[in-house]
Amino acid sequence: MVRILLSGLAMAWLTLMVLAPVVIVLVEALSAGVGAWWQAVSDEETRTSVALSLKVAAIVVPCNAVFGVAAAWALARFRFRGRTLLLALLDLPLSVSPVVSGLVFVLLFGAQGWFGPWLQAHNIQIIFAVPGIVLATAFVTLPMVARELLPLLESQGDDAELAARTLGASGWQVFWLVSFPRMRGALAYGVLLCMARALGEFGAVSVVSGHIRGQTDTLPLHVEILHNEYHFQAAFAAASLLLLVGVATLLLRRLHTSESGH
Amino acid sequence: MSIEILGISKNFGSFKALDDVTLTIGQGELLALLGPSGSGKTTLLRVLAGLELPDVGKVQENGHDLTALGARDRNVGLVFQHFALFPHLDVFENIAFSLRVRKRPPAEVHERVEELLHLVQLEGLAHRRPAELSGGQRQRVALARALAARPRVLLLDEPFSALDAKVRHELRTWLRRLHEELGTTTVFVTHDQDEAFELADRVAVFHRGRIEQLGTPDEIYDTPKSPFVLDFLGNVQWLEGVEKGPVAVRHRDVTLHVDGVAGWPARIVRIHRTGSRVRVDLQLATGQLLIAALEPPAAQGLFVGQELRAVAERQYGFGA
Repeated sequence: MVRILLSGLAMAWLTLMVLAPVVIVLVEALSAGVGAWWQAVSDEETRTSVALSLKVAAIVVPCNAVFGVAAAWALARFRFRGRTLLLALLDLPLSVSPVVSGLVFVLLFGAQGWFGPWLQAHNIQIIFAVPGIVLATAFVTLPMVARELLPLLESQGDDAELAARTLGASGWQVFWLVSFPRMRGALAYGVLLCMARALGEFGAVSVVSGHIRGQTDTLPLHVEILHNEYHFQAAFAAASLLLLVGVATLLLRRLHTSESGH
Repeated sequence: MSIEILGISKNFGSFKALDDVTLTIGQGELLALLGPSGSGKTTLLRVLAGLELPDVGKVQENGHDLTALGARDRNVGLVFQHFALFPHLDVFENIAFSLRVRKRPPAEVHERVEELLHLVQLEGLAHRRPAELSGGQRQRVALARALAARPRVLLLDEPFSALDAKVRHELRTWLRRLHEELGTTTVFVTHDQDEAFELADRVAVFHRGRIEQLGTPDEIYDTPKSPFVLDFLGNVQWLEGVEKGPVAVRHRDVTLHVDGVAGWPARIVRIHRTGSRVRVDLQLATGQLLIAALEPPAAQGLFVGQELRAVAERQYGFGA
């Protein structure tokens, strides 16, 4: 009885909060037919916004992957001064509102910001330009890879790596022959999550972007613009692309977990 | 090739893991480091492997200082307590690892791995993953992997503790034979005195970061140098007031005499079988409990409540 009640409640809530919005996005996106969907998706401005989002992700994801591996490695394997601080800082981007994150970059690099005068003197634009979007996205997605790897590395322990050293492996050999192959699955999923988030980030990017059409509009910002201008079908069509990214991420994860068997 | 450990100390914070340990391991010797957990034996093994740097002291090989060499350059074979096999590599590649990182030609790697697979009797399993092996098989893969690059010394950390009792006994016998065949200088850590005594040429008993006693199994069993060693070997109890000063008596050294006059008056309170021996619990006149571990024939006809005399064939006094 309790089981039926609880699972029924969970199912109802999920349907209302998750399934219904997904269905609505798809229904609205395709409300005027596949042709109209395609037209909206292949519209010039939508295409540039998709291209910008992909470009940002292409810069941010590799950086955060390298950082994530290094940070997770250091945190799991070494006890050093400042370790606790690093752990806390790692969670900061997840716990702070993205809008605040965006504002921090405006305060640092904006025209009135700390480095504003210097940047202007050297004719470098960060805020209201692509570098600002990259920075804000990088900040928000910073912990995603590290957070995925850390529990895995901690549960694995360092025996295999020590064994590799006693067997004559150099530091790089230990990493590439032992550590990396064992974290590959978690790394792939961390990268996927990071990418999905980088493509979908709205809050922080919205603050630093300046919403210059065809220049600093990422896909999520473009969805908002279309919606604000009452192009509902086009807005939902663009949103369906983001939804696709999310669903693809989940499918790939399922694939990965069923493959590695846990 | 002998390995000399000279005055090694190692602290972890305020904890003295090793306290001025000096020990020479002979060429081809099979040495056991025996002690309770936290006695320093595993730390010494890690110092020998180059995984831990001593605060003071040196590790030498024939007078050649090895202390500064890291684990990578020391060429020792270390078998971890839980084997630490590489789960993403099959048995063949696990064993081949030390040769691969040394960039040996593939033909040589192949030949050596086949040789080792034969040695550890795992020929058919070369392409299994560690997860598909039993505990005993994993242990043998770990051993083959450690031996692949012909290490100057083989180090084993609690090599049998992760295995169940039956496999443990089989592997002990097998390891002893393997050692005789290969002659590799071997040091292993254990907290199990049966294991140490059955396998080792010499045993070093550790207590609080120091070597309490070093000797052959016979020497250590027959002439334990301190109450700690005697206690650690087990099946012993301390009696007060039956002699001058406290004495220790091993259960197996107690004999019972129904009509003797010598010995301590005792009354049987319990009799039960423990494997190959019969354990008889006795109450002494002083009120203390004395345990006798008898051969089954010697226990024939005894009964609970019986009054008789108990004689300790050997007593240990330690400076009393």
